[in-house]
Amino acid sequence: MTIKLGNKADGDDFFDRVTEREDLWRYLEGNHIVLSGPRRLGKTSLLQRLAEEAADKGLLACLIDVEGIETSEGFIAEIERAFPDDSITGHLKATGKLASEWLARFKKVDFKIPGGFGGGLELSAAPDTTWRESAIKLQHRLSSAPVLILIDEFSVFLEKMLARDPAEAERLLGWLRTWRQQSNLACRFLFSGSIGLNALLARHRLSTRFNDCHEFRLGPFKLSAALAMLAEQARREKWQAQGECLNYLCTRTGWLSPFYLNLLLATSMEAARDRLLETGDSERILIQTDVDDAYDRLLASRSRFIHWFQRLSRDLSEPQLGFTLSILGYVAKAENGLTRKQLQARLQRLESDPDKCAERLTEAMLVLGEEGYLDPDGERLCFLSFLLRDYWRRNHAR
Amino acid sequence: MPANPPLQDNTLSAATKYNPHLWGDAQLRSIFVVRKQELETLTEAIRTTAANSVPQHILITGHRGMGKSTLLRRVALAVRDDKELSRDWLALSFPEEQYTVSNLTEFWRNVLDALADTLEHQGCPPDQLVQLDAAIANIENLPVSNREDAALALLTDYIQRSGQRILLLIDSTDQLFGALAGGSGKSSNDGSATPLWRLRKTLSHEKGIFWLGASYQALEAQHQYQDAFHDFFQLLELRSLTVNDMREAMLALARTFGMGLGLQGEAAVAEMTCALDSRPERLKALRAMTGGNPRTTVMLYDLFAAGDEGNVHNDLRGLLDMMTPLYKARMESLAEQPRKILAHLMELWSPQSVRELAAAADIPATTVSGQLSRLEAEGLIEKAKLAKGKRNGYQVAERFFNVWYLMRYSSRRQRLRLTWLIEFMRLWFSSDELVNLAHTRVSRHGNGQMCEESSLEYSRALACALPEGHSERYRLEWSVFSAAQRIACDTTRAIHELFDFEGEDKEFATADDYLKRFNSLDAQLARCPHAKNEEEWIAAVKSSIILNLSDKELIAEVAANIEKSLYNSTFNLLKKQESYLPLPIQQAVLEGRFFPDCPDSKLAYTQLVAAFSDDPETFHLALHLMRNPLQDFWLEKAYCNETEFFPDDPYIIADLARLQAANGKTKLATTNYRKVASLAANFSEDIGNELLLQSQLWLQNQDAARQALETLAKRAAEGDKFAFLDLKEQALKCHQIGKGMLLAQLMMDSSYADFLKPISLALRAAGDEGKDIFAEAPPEVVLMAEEVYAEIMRRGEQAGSP
Repeated sequence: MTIKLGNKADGDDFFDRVTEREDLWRYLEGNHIVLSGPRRLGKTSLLQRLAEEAADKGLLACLIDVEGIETSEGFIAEIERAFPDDSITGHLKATGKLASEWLARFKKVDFKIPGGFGGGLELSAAPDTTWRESAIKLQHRLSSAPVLILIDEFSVFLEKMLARDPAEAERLLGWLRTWRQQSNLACRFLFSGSIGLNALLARHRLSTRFNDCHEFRLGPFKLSAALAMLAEQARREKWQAQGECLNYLCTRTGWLSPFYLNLLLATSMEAARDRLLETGDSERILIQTDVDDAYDRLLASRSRFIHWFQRLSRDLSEPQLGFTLSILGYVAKAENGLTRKQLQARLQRLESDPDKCAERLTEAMLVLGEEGYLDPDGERLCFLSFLLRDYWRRNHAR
Repeated sequence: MPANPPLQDNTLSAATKYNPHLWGDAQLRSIFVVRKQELETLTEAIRTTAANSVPQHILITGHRGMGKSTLLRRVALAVRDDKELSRDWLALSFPEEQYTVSNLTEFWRNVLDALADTLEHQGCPPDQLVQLDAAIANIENLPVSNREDAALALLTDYIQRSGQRILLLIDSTDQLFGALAGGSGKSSNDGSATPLWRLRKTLSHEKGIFWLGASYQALEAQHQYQDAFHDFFQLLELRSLTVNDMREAMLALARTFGMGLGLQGEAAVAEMTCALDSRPERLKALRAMTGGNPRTTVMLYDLFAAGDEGNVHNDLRGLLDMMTPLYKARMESLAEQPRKILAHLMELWSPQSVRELAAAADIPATTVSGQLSRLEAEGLIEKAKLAKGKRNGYQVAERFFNVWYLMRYSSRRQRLRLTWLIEFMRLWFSSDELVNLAHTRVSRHGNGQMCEESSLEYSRALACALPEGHSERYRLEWSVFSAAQRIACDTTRAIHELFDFEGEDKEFATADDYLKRFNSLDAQLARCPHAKNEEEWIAAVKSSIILNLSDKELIAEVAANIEKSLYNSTFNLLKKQESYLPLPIQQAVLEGRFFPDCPDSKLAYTQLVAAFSDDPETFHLALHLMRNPLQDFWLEKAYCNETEFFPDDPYIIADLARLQAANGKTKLATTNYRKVASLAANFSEDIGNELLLQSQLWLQNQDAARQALETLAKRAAEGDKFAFLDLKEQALKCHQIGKGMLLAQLMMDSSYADFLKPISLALRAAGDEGKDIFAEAPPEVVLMAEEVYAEIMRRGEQAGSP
């Protein structure tokens, strides 16, 4: 089975996101970007695809995964390593015209090839730290280069930094912000991560350190894209979906995240295979009962979802934890979710003051929305993933 | 680990058989039959991973013993066996020591070492190996901070140069990750999990490394990994084997390990096929015992292959000892509360409701309920029908695990009673097999064979595995008891090891005492000077059912000095009685297998069933020859047995109904009296009226009862002696079931009231009115009434009832 169920999807395994990519390239012309969105939407895969497309836009791009890094020095060194001088030189030579077009948009930059560029840059922001030298060097070297710095798992890195040394984390964020705000900057940053960056910054009261980036919120697949992906995956695995089966699979998934769609499809194939073994049939046709069977199988595997519960227990403390778990419990029990008003009425048992209740709900929704539990934007508050909703109802909403 | 059990060994030593790590490639290919689908899925995933794409890493999950390690080994073999796969992939397996690593440098070093080993195994040119070894050794010369990157770079360099991607087969991935994260118990956001993120990064981007891991559970269940690998791996869950899988496994094991007395290869397969086809229930028993766990299945293979011929007792002890490390680890992996609940569930063995478990563990039911759900999700327990009602309770899924627990940890009393062995046998053997085994052992014990203590212990457990009330159960128990008594040396100890005289087996204490007295009669009776045939004289006294044991002891005591005339009359009387008695009863009494005056009602019942249940007529006679049996539960059981033998005999059913009525079992009594009334109504007019009278009185059909009374009274008044005896008897019986006053009233209203007056007076006196009422009657009536009254009271005292 080649369906990607966790690792990033590249090559032929990457589907759709056409309009998102167009938008992102457009925004990148004038902005740095924070790519946000709940887990399992395929952010890393999208970053990977952007890296592959960058050369056509005249940019040298590199996907830098900073999840395994612990220090500011490490962070800077990782970017340094990703963009050695010779790679930039090579890029400029290879894509000369396209690169020039990109750079032409930033007329004030007195561009020279590596080793001689850097005139007119604002470098004053580097703080007085052990990494000041390397920071200045990096900033000096890349600011006017046509590079796209795709930083993945930035929030994971930042969370660890904040846990170990908040002041140092703040210094690094401050420097990055100043660098991004430098005028006539040719390079571009795109940050992403599997932990919600905004909620993390809000939790540490650091939101202002990142409000200069354009936030691009990645949403689920459109139905047509989801169906196209499922049909292709099924075809590759030599299954044929009967009638409305794939539509039904989308309906059951609810939130059209590629991960959950693929997970349910892969498990449906397993269920179908077991059905064929039992019945002795040989026609590899997926039917709706396979989807139902797969859905039940996934729900039965409690350990698959337990981390959704554990993460909240780890990150939140009482009384916020109890309040947040109550929200999820109430929403899970309502098939079609609840309006804010309905939810507030239920939460009054925990918080009798209506204003405070609304405030606490908004605060909790920031976490629950960004972390991918609930859809914060709809008229009704409901779980994004129906699988997660049903798991929650079964295990935590008693 | 204890010594290997004394199992029959065939092609492999027992240690090899039970340790899949030691199976050779050919054996692994041969045995590996039940996870073929999973093997195909995995090899297909490897095959279809494009060279220019990052692999979707896979984690095999399943409980311990579900075959994760074996599957990993089989995948390695499949890759080596497949020309195309072995060209593109190099599968690296690791020894257990892998999990001592504490950082990524050590991990990548281990991978490089495994790479060198594998290349050497595959015949790589020595100079290349020397080069690789030198490069690996050189890593140690680098600064510590550079070693991890250097080791990984060396690996990726090999991948690029060789064009062969690396398949990492990592057993216990969860443990490895735990070690890399710095061990358990660390705060989750202190940065300690950074190595995991670095590993994730490598696996996310490196196209030449495919991680195929195995883990006790999905990594998402672990808290400590800081989300690094949440939703990262594709999971492949190994589920329990089905009955069909078990069949495949048994055949493969037979083919590989042989079966029975030297059968090998296809001959063993044919024998196993035959065994499975002739006794399909054995496979279901195996499934229940193992919970579909392949490792336990392999462990139990020899027991299974031995059928009912093997020495289950010794083999089982050995096997359970071998399972101890695994099962102990399973218990210790649980937190305190679920472990406590699981322990209680195992101690109780049969399915338990949440409420029962909450009471046993003294934990609130809501908490127990949550813990049970978790234990069920982990596959340790399963839902099962409660013994009473239609609802489900819980039991331990792998029954062998439960057997192990009972052997190791249950109370002393349970261990003494070999509860673990009993429960094992109940699952392992079919009812027919148990009966046959018991039957064989009864005759062997009877012949003085298998009388050493361990054999008797096994027989005792076998007896207990049979259902309560089964004749073979009591026969075997009795033969164990008799054999233990016969053991010449240290008799008392043998019996006390096998029977708990102070507790649940106190009826055997009674038997022990009775038999000691009974067996000592011989010597005293032998001193009688008049007996021409001493043996005949002793047998006549001992086998008598009209004498109780005290009477027999009295005769034995005076035997040496008995007058000849008294001896003659006694001997003749006993011989005459003997001539009326069926031989089986005489023999049973003489051999001390049936005590006609048994002082313990449970013992009396078990003796009846053991000695006579094969012959209903003799059973019936022996039951009614018993002297003063207690009107209790055991007598009721004996009557029930009788009604099963004679389902259409109203007299027998009436005995049962009356006992139930006297013991307050009103509903049962009513049901049975209805049957009595219905069956007796089919008799001709002169027969069965006493039954109709009693049953209709109980059923409160006064007209029908009156009619039966009138018929009986008329015949008695006309001089029918038996009819009059029937009337008297009914007075006693109706009083016994609380209908004495009602019968007295019917008699007083009868057209034969004067004739029946002595009986009605006796009933009234025994009822509410007392003997004062005799004053109003003429002396000859009172005389007879007194007689009936005395009999009523005597029976009442005897029965301990009203």
